Amino acid sequence: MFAIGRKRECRRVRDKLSEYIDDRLGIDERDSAESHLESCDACSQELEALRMTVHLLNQVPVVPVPRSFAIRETETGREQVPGSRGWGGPSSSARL
Amino acid sequence: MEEQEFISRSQTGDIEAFNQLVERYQQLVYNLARRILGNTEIAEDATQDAFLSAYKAIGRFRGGSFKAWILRIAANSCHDKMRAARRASTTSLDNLMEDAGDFIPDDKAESPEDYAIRRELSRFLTNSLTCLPEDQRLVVILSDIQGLSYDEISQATGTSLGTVKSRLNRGRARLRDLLLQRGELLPAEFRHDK
Repeated sequence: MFAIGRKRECRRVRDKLSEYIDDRLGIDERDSAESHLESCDACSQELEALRMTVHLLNQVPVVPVPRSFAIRETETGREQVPGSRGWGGPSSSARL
Repeated sequence: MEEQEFISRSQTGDIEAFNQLVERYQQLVYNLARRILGNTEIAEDATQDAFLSAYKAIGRFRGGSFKAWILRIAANSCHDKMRAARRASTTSLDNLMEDAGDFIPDDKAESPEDYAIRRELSRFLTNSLTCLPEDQRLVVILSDIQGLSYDEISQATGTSLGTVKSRLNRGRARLRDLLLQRGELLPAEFRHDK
């Protein structure tokens, strides 16, 4: 019975570890998570590994653009009409 | 000139004004496409398509974060590219994955061995990103590589904050599990066998 409750608590805390790292938990949730983490080595290790993952992702550098992506009038398939609004778009923009 | 001025002028068909917006956001959009798609050439196409779509649709932009708006178009453009690759019988994005040589800059202070390991870790992390489901991959990149807030990600993906949190949690956890399988690549401070 105790083990089942413990397992459920571990799952609840692990679902919140990402928000915990980002400091997005409310005070009560954060305190509750910290209380559990102090007594649970497995969840503490999960937390540290998750922190490491985020840390490595944060270090991914910006890739320089290979060229300018400025658009040319000839690419638009439309004449420039000053004052016109509400142009339709292809698939990418149609889902906005 | 303020961004809003460029947007307003773009909405009247001023292509030069729109290209000022391109200049401002092309690095962000290209990097998103590069990380989602894992291929330089397709990322270039996706980026160009995104800006062209944005130009055609900017008349419908009704304010809010232009950054989130353009990223949403870029994400859709990437989605289109992935779908096209899946449909092609002879090509898949997995086959088009490139060496992540642009991933981590050279550090003159480290040994060739350390650099080689770091480069391998970079390649592994890049490839691992493309193993994530598309929705989780997008949120992880926007959050942990591009540094967007939860609110900005919510706008850029058109999903609720709860969905953003859930996808981020699952995406990070999946990446963590993949990284732990390659413990020999991890920096010394993260190795359990140090």
